[in-house]
Amino acid sequence: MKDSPTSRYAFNPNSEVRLLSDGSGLAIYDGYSCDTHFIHSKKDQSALPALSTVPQEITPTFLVEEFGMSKLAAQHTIDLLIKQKVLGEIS
Amino acid sequence: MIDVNIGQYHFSVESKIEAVNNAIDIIYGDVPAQDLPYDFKVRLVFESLVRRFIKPQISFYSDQHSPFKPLPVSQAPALLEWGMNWCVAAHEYSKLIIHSAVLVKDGKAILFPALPGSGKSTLTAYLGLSSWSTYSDEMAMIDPVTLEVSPLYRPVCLKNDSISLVKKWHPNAIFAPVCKDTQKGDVAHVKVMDWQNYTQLSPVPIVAVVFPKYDAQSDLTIFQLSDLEAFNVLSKNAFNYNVLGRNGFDTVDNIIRRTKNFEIRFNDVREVDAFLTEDILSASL
Amino acid sequence: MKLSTRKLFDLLMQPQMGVNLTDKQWQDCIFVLRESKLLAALYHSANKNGCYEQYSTFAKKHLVSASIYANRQADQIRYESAELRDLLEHINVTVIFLKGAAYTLRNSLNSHGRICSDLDVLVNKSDLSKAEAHLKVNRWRSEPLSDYDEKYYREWAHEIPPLIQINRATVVDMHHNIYPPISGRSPLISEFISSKEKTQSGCFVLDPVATVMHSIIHMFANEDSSSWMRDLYDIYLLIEEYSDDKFWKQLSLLAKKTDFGFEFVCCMRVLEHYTGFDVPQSADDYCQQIALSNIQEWFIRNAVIPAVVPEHELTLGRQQAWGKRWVYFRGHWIKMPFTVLIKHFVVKSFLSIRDKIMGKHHFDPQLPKNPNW
Repeated sequence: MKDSPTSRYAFNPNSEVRLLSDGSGLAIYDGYSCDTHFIHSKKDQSALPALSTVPQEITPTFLVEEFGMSKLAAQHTIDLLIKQKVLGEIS
Repeated sequence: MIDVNIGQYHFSVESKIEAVNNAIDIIYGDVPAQDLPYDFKVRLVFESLVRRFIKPQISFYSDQHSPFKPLPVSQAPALLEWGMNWCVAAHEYSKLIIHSAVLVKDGKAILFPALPGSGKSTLTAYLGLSSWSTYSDEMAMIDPVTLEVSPLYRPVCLKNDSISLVKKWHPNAIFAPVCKDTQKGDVAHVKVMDWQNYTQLSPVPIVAVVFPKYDAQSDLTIFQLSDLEAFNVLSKNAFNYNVLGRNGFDTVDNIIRRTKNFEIRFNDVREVDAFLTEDILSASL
Repeated sequence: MKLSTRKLFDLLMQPQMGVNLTDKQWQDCIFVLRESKLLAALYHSANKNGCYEQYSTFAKKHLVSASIYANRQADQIRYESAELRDLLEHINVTVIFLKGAAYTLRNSLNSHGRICSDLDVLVNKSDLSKAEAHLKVNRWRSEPLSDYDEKYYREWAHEIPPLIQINRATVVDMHHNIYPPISGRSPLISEFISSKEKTQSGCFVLDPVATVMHSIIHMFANEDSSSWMRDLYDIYLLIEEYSDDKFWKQLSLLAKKTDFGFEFVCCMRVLEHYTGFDVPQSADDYCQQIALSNIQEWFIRNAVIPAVVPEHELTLGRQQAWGKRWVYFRGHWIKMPFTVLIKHFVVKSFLSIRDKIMGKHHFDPQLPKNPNW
């Protein structure tokens, strides 16, 4: 993928993002396709969720740090969501 | 024309098949005649001239449409029940409808969404004929505003071995005649409450979602599900989730914020009853 | 006693009437409007009129559900249209959306609560194979067809076989004209394409005059009258929303240029009959110019007008069923040269006789399997 690890992405303006209260991840409603997507946190949920608000933007680093993903998985998740037009790059 | 009142919906059924009319009488015969408008008009008809005599097949029609392939006439009573489910699922969008059993006790509902073969209906029949009220064996009708689930007056659909199991547990239960050799094997519908009980029921909040899996080798094992897993499974099991759009998303989100979510493996329905009553119901306010 | 189609039109046009209907009367209206795909249209009409809240709980329960379904479809149309436009823009093909998709993209009154099952689009004939090939390498496919059907599409039809999106099962009918070339009556398509307008979404649609003309041709020069009530209501609302003096002059001119004058007269007559529409002077002048033969007069009275009635046991009587048969025969007759027509009917009637005897689903792999409840 062409994007560098420092690229930043935002959810498309039609979408509705929910932080699942047990820290298991994000549920995203995409108002464009009307599909539901998830970003699954790999972190142990027995620890209190680190996030308290829905993130305004997503970066590979964010997914690695907050959701315990590998760099590869983080980039893959982002690529997939870009392809589905859920995420767009912030210039 | 036969009236079939399932509580929230009223069907006009046209059928010349005796086994169907007989089954309707057994399952819905105690509903008093009421002068209500029909929501759906359905028919069971023989598919063709030749077919009427050789391997007779019947089709289910909702008004002018036939949503399924025809089935052998021996399966007609089951086809009617499935067809009525289809009518509701294909036309009701003011409620979120989840493919799930709903059992209620002490004014609290537990949803049991599950795949075929999971033992969901066996569990439903057992509990429904014991101290629980069966709000549905197939469809949880959830109001997106109040998040309460409302009851349908329907039987429970049992397959194969579970028919004799339920007969053993509840020898006095009322069964419609068994339909042989459907795609699911033998199928029989069992009545889990009478109309008098049904009229006492009202919408109730959902306190838990339990995904059951029957496993002959496994004593009761309980797994806690994450919110994300519960969200995923509930949305995938909802018939009309996609049609409801954002409202469906919000409704599922609101449900799982209020419920405890589990997956269970079980080989004894009595253990499940104890878990539900002692651990889930008593712990929820 | 059959339910009157005029009364159903009255209900759609003056939804205030619904306030006084009993639930038993509603029941029958709901059955017919549901089958005619007009239930959600009534919801919007009643809301616009402000009388919806006064409807009975029974009626509201059905209308609101139908409207939720229609809203979701409109979302889907906007999404699929944007995706399709985007895809074809990559190869510089301009696509014009027609019928249901166009109504939704334009957000015209008749799109509110309208249900449609597929997307109809128009491209230049010279772009057709390029567009088809590009879609087919981008997750669209077409069903394998019988040799007869393949030939029908490729040689005689104004569209290619339906394209289906692999993930979402959306169906697109891609046209290069609005009427089959084999009829010898397909209009010079530039008359339509040149009218194209860009909607807010960025997608192109025909202008209101060409839209109504297309709706008229699509309705009255075809054999299938099963959705005529809905099609007529579409035209009624489009005219309500877009017609002015200029509109009628341009519409008459377009009917004349494309040689669909008879269909234009049919439209005015059924509008008068079912909606009490007052045909404006310039349209009436044009109708007078088209001197109808006695047979055409007979056909309008005995075929076209009765054929608008919905195909439902509560509305369809013997006369209407015959009307639909006449429309069916004419629809085929005007589309095909005699020898082709005979062959077409032989194939079609063989299929229909076979289905009657053996049962329709005997050969039909399309229907879903039984539900796994």
